[in-house]
Amino acid sequence: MKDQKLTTSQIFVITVFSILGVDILVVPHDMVSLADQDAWVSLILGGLLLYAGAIPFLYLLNNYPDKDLPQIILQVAGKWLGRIFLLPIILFVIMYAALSTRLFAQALKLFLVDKTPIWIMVISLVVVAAYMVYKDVHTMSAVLDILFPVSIISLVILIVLSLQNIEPDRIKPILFRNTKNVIKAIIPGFYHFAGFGAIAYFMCYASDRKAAYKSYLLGLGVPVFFYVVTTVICIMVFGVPPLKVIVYPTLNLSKSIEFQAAILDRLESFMAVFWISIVFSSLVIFYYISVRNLSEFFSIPNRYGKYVIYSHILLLPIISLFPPSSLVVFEYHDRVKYLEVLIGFVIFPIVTVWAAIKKKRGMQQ
Amino acid sequence: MKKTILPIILLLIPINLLMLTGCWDRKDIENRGYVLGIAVDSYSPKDSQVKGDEAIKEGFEETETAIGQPVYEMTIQLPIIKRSPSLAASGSGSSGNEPKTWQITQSGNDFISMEREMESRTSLTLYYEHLQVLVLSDKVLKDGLDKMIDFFLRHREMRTSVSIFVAEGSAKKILEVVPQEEDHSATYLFELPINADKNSRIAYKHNLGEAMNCLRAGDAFVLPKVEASKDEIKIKGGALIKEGKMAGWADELDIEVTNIIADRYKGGTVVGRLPGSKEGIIVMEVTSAKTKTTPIIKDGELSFDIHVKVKGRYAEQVGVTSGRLVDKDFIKECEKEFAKTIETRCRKTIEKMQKKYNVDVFQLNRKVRTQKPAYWEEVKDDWDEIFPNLDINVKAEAQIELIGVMK
Repeated sequence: MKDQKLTTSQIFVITVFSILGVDILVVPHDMVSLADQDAWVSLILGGLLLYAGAIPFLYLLNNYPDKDLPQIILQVAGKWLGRIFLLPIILFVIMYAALSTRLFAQALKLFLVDKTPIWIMVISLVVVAAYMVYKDVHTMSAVLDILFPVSIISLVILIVLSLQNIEPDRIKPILFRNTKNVIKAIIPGFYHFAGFGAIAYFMCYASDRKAAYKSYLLGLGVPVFFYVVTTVICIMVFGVPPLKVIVYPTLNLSKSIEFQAAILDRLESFMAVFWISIVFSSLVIFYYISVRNLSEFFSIPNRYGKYVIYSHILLLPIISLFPPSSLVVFEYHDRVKYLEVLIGFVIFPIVTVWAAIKKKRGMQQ
Repeated sequence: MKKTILPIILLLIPINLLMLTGCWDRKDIENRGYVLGIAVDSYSPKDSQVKGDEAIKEGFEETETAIGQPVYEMTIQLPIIKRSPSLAASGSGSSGNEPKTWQITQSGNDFISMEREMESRTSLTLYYEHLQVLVLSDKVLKDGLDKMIDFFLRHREMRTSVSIFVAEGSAKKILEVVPQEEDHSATYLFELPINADKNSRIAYKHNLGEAMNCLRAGDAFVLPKVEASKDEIKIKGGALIKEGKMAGWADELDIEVTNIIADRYKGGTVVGRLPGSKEGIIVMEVTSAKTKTTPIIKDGELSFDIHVKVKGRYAEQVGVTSGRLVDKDFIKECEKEFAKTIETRCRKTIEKMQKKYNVDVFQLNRKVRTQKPAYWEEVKDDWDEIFPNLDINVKAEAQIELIGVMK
């Protein structure tokens, strides 16, 4: 298993897709609800926080070059405490994957396929993801490589075409008597970058570690950039008061684009390419992570690994279909993100410091 | 290995056959009813004078409401697309008299029920992705645009680029126009504002998205008013909307000034008196215009400086056969004259909006909000009292770049 290597560019793609998820559809609404027209400032600051969390994290990974996150945690914190640390991570990953899929299916139902039941969309997505995880890391990242340019290019097209509708005045006044809200919105802004830790499950396959670190840090910037730009564009196109009520502003953005010539009517069906592939990619990554987590948690040997994959085919749809209505899904989706803060600001730092102390002791001996 | 794969494949084939042959949302294109335009009128009880087929039709238009009384009347326009190709081919000879659109009217107090009631009158599934215009009657607007717009904003198929127009009296009448060139009056109406770069008397932005923004932010705005004859529609002035309700009519000249001040002036004509003449008229064709609106606060008093700069061609002179040569000095005088007309025109409309209607249709409050936020915090609740007494200084500047082919 360890002889497969991921190239530096594949690490970059995995980094981008692990963060860029279903949030791209809701980020402008969520952030504007909290910080009005200055939402983008909070997002930038949240992005800085992301880097602040990611750099010590790399230090941890560097100490254990051939292990992935659950293995590192179990080694550093021991059998029992390690499992306690692992528990919120397991919970977060599986909830995040399931709820993202549900959010995505909901948006798909709302905008494209009215009569298709949500369960069929969720299950078909999960089954395809299961097949990719069943193959191996190499296949996964090869598929992500194919989806990456398509989704990024169509996202860029969306942004460029929206420029014709913008009214720059709507973003003003900048930071006027709003600093308190902006600061309050930094942590929620950081939530949207959930998944920056996903790389810990792939770094052990990197062929060139030094270059992989660099491409990881570079890759973190891509989602930050797209979230900030999408938010700014949405504010300029819709204005702050409507954004507070539009549920999927990015999709409405693609619906509001208009051409003088009628050759490209209904651009939003074309734009579905970017968000479907983005959500699918992040599902695949989180699927894999969840499988790894559970395998390590229950110490399941490699040859039985496929049964963990199969179990997810049931587990993910059950969790994602559990919330009865779309408003409840949003509520759960928000709550799950508190786990991310616990993981990002409590568990990762403790493990990192612990690992550093252990290393020092080992050197002294 | 091979032994295990074969049964799986055999199992997958029937599953694929079942699952991949179609989808839940399959809808044949000829079964969709493409709604091109919607007109909303307020409900008025039918007179019982008509007999026969007319009376039956009026009976169809009534919806039995579950709660309350009918308030609105919605009319949708569907294009008539001949289903059978042979019929379409044979009908081509005498197609001149056949109607090309079908208007369905239904009354009720909520739009979704009206729409569902219509589905009992047509075999097509109504489909709104291609909706282009929404025509509202002034009565509906006076009752409140904010009251009824939710259906159109919440609907998943309608897009924010749907144009809104206002009709005085009956909105249904606008959709019933049989246009000369286009097949459907909705398409005709939708494409009318394309000439906004030549005729600045057309209210510029008037779609659902913009209306939603203004309604949510509590800003006043203007929607274009349309009038119709049997085969023609004209955009004529606009309806002023304040706090979600219609506050009055603006005429075409007001709309032009609104466009100038909002910096949406795309082109048009400026007319002035010929220098040194009492009857002659000179005309300038505007090719580009730029307006800068600056809020100024001096000793706690707010005032506005509006600087309009228009560039264009010297287009025409009327009433002079052997006038002066169009030279540098003459053009200078003309530029002054044009600037003066723009200033007077702007002042007139501004005063009308301030004193007569008290509607901030220029959206000056947005300028204060974005550029002087501290002051806005203080005055945002009394904007209605502040706006009519605002000091608005208009300064215009005209520049003639071309004079045509003659001196």
